[in-house]
Amino acid sequence: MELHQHEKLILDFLKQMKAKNKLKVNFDDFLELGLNRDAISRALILLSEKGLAKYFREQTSKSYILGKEGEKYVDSGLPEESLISHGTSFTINDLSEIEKKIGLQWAKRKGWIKIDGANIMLTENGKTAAKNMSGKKMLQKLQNKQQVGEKELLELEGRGDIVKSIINYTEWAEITPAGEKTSYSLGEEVNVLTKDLIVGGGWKNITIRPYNLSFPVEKKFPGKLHPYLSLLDQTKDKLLALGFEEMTGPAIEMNFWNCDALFMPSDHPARGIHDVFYVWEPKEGNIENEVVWEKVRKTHETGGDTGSRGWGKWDPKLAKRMILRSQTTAVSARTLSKLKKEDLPRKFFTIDHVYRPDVVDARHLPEFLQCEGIVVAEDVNLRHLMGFMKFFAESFGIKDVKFQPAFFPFTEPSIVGYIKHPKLGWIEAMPGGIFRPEVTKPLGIDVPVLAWGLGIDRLAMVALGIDDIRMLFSDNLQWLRESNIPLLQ
Amino acid sequence: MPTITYDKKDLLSLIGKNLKDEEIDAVISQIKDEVGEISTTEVTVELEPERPDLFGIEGLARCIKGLIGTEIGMKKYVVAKSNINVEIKNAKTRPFIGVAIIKNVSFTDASIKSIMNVQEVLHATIGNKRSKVAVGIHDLSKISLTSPIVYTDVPLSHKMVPLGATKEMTLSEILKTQPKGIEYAHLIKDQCPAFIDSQGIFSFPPILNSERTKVNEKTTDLFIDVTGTDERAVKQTLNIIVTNLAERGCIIESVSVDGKEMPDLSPEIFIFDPKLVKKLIGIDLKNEEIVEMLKKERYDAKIVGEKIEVCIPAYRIDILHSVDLAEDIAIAYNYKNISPLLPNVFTVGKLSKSTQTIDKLRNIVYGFGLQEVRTMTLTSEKQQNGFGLNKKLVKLENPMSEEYNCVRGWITPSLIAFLSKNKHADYPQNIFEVGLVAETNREWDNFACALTDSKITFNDARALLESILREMGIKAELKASEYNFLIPGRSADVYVSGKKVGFIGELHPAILNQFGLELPVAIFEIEAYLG
Repeated sequence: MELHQHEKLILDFLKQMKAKNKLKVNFDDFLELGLNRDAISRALILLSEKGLAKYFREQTSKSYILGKEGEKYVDSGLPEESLISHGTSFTINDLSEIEKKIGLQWAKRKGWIKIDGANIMLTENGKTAAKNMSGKKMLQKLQNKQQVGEKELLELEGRGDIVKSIINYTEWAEITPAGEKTSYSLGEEVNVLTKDLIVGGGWKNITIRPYNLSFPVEKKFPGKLHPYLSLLDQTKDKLLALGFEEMTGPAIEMNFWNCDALFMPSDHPARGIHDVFYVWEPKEGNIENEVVWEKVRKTHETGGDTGSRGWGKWDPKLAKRMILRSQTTAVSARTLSKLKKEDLPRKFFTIDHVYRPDVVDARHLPEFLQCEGIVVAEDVNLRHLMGFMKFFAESFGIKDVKFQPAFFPFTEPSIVGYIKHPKLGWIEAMPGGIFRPEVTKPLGIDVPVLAWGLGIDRLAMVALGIDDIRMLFSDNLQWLRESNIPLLQ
Repeated sequence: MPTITYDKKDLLSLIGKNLKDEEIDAVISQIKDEVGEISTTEVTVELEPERPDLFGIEGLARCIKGLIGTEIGMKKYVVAKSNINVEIKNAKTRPFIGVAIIKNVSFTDASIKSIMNVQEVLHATIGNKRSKVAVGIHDLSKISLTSPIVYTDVPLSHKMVPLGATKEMTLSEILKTQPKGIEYAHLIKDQCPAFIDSQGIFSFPPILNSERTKVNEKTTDLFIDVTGTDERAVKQTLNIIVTNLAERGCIIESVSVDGKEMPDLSPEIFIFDPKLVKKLIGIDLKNEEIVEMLKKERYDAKIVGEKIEVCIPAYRIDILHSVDLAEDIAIAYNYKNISPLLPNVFTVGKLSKSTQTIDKLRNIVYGFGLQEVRTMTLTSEKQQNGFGLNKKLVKLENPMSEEYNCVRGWITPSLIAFLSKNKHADYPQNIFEVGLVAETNREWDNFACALTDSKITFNDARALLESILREMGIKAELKASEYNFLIPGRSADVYVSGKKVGFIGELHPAILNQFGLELPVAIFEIEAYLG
């Protein structure tokens, strides 16, 4: 006997239940199998036709609801009721269409009226019925979902679509002895379709377990780059597009490159133990370039050949000390010292670690990043520096930029570029200037050098929507997983 | 950046014009300073440390007068001779001094506040907390002028009645008991300079003055002393103070110090090449216009042939080179009027080789589904050496705390700490970091990975490492090794071209317990830039 997969499932289920001494299986129990009601019904019908199961359907109750027509009669009552509401005597012309079409015959049938030509008169029964309006009351009860006696509704049931009946059934099935003896290969309900099933054709004899979409599945996290590092990658891309080459230099640096080559006097307040981290070992570095060393010494002591008066003193022992770089301008100094005239013009940038002794709070860390760059070329001046800063800001979508004079020991003139943030107003974002001749000449550079910086940590905090600098080193895996990497304009 | 609060009424009266608040803001913003706040009675300004001549309200007013055009050119101060003599004898600790007499001082609230402001800020900035320059102010009438005043180093046993005290004390006692003595004791070794008149010592610079020469409301004449280790800074500090007081109408009198009259307010002459303005700033100014700008900045300037002869006032400590003058010209012109120009320098951009390699690596790794993390390169020795490996760490001589007292030698401890903070996040947790590590004499980038889940083993890390290296085109060899923090038999060293570049293994359960980790962790850390 050829059985459909659904029939097999139902029959198998009936067998299992019988084995547990449950002969009568309710319809709703079959829902467990993952089939819908129609499928179950069909399968049971087929099985009962084949004599393998008995399918019972018993009406348990009947309930009524208003039909479309009935909804129209709720306010005025049944057509015959609204008819007799016209009064004790009236004419046909007083009646509405519905009252003429439907109400008239029913009122006559119910013995509520006497017709004489065009005149209509209520009988005694009619008068009583007009007072009771029992039909209307019934309809209203139905509308309010209240119980109405079946006897009263029976009359209405035959009339058009005034009321509708709903029959409630219980359904159940029982396996027959023939059904119990029938064999079939059910095949498992399979969770995973395997290579064997696919290739061997076994898939034809199995059901693949349907999945319930309302059950959640495991949450997957993608591989992701760090949001801040991703922002930096994008910043680097913008600088590459503007023709800047990346320069690098050591984080563990000699004081010479961090301060002295930048014309900071040996007794400058920012060189103390509260402003720079000094390294325990090695304490001193090696002079890599004797020529530059000598030139810097002369520049500090007397101005050398730079046209400056110098500082009148220089501490070579301090210059030799190893420190943690406190500004990336040290990298600029190193890079300039390696450039030859035929290499020019060149543009360089770096984004790298710098370190300063600072109390840790929401705005300060002893370790942060600086972004800086230099333009080494003939015929560039302060206007070009301002132009570059404006252009660079625009590449991030920032239109409002203003410049103020500033002071840095190694540039003159110096400026600070302010950018306008929609919420924070004007913020200091880009320090910069033209390197002093006391810096460039000893490093062997005879052309102007425009230098600019970018407060990259601060700007990243704005872009990432964070207000505590420590979040840039967040150890919150959930935050990292959920972070959206902002795309810079 | 020192912040000073000026009395608005006093400032406007010194300027001689009743400027509106917006005008005050505009002119101060034109120079390097930043206006903090203007209230009905006060103006707060954040000052650049390189213009100490602006710390005193009189100096600021003098500068503003030039910029708004009410008083331009260099101010000439009259200096009469006081005929007072000072002799320097054997002063080694603070060899340079500046001395001046100021007459006709009237100590109103405004002028007292101004002098104190100036002294404070000068000490903090040029003075390098008094070590480089220190200023003392005395009531001249309390000083004996019958014989020359002597400036000399004295031993700490010498005595004086210090300011605020009633009895005489030795300098040693002063250094131990008086507030200023305690604060600046570190500047004195076994000798201290002293100013001595016929009555005795009246000043121990840089510590404090005597009670005898104390200044009060009745004082009309001052003896100003400036001492220090930098001749130029000392000289210019004196110049700043005396010119500020002269702006109030006081009279400056010079003192003969070892035969030389001080203060010397003669200007310095600088020959300025006007072509520098176009070259450095990029604006086109005729020589006459440049002269006008310089005068607004209170210089005297005149065209001499193709050049401009500039007189630099004695109180301008910051002019070292022509570029400083060029900047002042730009400031007088007003940066707001300078229009930006795009540089037309054509160059080709490129990333450094190591960044290119590391970016390639990071992209491959996150392509394997790992989450990149970022931890600090500054860390603690305790964290770094807590796994039985003793790295040659770069330690700091002056750390702020034990928490950040060295540069990391490897990333793994930070990753383990990271995992221990995320026990409530979903597993698997697969993280990586590429970043700076250092040892004494060498710094480079490492690449570290940590994988953790309920069924993680060494082989998972190994499979990942080998796949990544294959993608990077690097051939590596694993050789079994033993580490205290890794499970024996599940740890190896990684070799590339015969050189050890890192390790790989499964964390020892003792370490997992130590960090409160409940699931196995497989890790590896190797050098990131391998050729």
